[in-house]
Amino acid sequence: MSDQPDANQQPESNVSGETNAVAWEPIDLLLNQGTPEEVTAMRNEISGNPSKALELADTIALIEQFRDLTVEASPEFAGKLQDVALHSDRFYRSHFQPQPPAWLMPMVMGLAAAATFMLLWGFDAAQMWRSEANLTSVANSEIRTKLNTISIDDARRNVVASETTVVDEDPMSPEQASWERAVTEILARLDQETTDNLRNAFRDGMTQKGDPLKQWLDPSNALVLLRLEHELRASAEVRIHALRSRGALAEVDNRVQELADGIADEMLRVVAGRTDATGSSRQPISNNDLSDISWGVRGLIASGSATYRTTALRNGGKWLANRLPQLTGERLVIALSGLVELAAISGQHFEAVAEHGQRLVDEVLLPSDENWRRRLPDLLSGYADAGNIGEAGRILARLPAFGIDPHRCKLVRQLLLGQLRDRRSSAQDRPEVLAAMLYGCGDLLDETTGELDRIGWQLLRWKPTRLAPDFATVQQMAWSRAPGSRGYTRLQRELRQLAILPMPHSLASRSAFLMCLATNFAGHAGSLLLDDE
Amino acid sequence: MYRDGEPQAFRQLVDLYRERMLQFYYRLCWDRQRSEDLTQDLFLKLMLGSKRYRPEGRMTTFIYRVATNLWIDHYRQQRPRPRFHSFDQVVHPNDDSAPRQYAGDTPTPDEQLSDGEERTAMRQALERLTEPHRLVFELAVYQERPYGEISDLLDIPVGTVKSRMHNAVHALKEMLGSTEQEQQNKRAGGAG
Repeated sequence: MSDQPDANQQPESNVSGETNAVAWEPIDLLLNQGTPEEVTAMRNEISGNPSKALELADTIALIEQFRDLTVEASPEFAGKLQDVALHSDRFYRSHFQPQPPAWLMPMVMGLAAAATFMLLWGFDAAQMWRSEANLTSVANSEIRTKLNTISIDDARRNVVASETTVVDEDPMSPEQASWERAVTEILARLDQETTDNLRNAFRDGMTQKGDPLKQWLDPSNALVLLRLEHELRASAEVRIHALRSRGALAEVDNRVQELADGIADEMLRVVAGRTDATGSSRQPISNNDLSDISWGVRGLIASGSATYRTTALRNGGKWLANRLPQLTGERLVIALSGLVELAAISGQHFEAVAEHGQRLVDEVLLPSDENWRRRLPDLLSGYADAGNIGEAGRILARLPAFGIDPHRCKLVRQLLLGQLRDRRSSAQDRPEVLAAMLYGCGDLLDETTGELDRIGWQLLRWKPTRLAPDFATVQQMAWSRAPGSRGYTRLQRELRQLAILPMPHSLASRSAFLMCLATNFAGHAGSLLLDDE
Repeated sequence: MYRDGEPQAFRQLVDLYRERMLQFYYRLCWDRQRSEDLTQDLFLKLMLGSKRYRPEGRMTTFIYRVATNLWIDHYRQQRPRPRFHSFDQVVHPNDDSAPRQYAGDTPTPDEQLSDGEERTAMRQALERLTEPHRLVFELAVYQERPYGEISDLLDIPVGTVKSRMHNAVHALKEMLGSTEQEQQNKRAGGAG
């Protein structure tokens, strides 16, 4: 019977050590099986035997056909492997992670017990109620509550009252007193402004009411989302699924990964070239280097984690963190933009972000010899780059998760929005201003008066391809319009055309370009998890 | 490396082998869902087995050994009923021509459309090979393992690996030849 081919086959050999007993066949040569001498012998025999040569050609055709039988992984596959990876991390911690020596724990416990005993020995419980620190914290919380409820005029009256009726029943901490003085100085300076935008912004910020838990919880959740989605983005299937589900071509991911590889290589070179033996640098930091590294870090994070780019990411983050103390104003914003994301996804430089994030807030809110007395703070000046202001708004929205007072972060964001509104009212409604408003302060825009919608539609008048090579603006534009919002589909259609643009020259522009291309899987926090569901 | 303090090493291993292992299992069971589950199981087994892994052996061999054993265990559980078959037998006989049926095994209309007649014929031909022959074919052709390593993996002599490979190739040629012949006959009949 023709479909019983087994009947004609050679019987199976089962004797060990009979490798040479089974005659070779063309498939063996094709698969390069056997020792080099055997392969050479097979080749010689083929060259002298036309029927064997024909059989070999036949076999090659057959095997080539069979090699096409492959399957594409489903989108869920990435999730399954992610489970494995997380499981492996736990397994590693419980089985292979070096454990502290057995005597260490009892020793630590003993030391802790001794320290507690010593503390209790000299502890005066009543002193707790008299301590200045405690008075300060009570005053702080009281005043913060009050600040949340008072109007701006009340604030002024309170300040005057606090200056004239020295601490009666409500003692004020030095910090609080200086904050009150700051408010007075800021208000005095804002009175001199020609427009009301900053004054109104400050007033809104001072009178805002909000759920204190939510003010802290939202940024913390945003950080967790960043980390989770970064892990998900590691999978090519997830990225491709996200691209396809929003109508983009899967090939865009190839371009993103290619760009990311180039960025990682160049970042390593730049960082190595600008770092001295101690790992830090006292040389002046050029704006180009700062932008390149910070954008590079963000670009690599947006592209999805890949183990072979980890070094570039780590070195870039270290380079930025080492330079933070020397930076102020817009330059501080640029450096923090990369570090906040790095800290969110990996926990690296968390303390540095917290420390210098606080400095960013203080730079805007605390008057100095220059700030507020002689001029507006750098970030609120008319010279500040709109894109950096937008980025500052985005950073400040996340800083509460690093332990910084959410009320003050929001106050600064209101002021930044006021500055951008100021630009609009003076007919500077350029795309970078609109994009910065939506990207950095979209949640603060007034929905009831239709401001959010108006700015969104106005921004759509500019085509992303026409804005190139200003990819920083395109990135803010693309990342500010979340799935489901009005105009999202139209913007997606236009963003697809970016994929064919040539690669920009500078590292920062290339990273911004990468982030534009990666919008569908990196631009909108929470969208990947929704896809997963 | 994983054991020696590099937790990322396992993720690298997953990245390196995920695609290869997915295809390996897919061509053995022809069910994407099941092959993904098997690949996941494989990596879990490798993780658990990392404590037992001896560095003197080749890592690839270790992985394929675990993968092959996992498949053999799975195959044993899935076999619809016990049956006798000879190791000399290369293809399932006609009365038992449907080797195994899985819940997700039926090609979807999309798959049917995308799979040309030729692909279907190839898939069917591979499915008709008996398990020992199919495993050798998969390891040698798709995974490009040397006969010596396959012999170690399956615990059979190299000569047996060779003869299974030769027999599988002959059977596939013959089956595909007869399919082509049938298609030509159909076309000729249709034209007539």
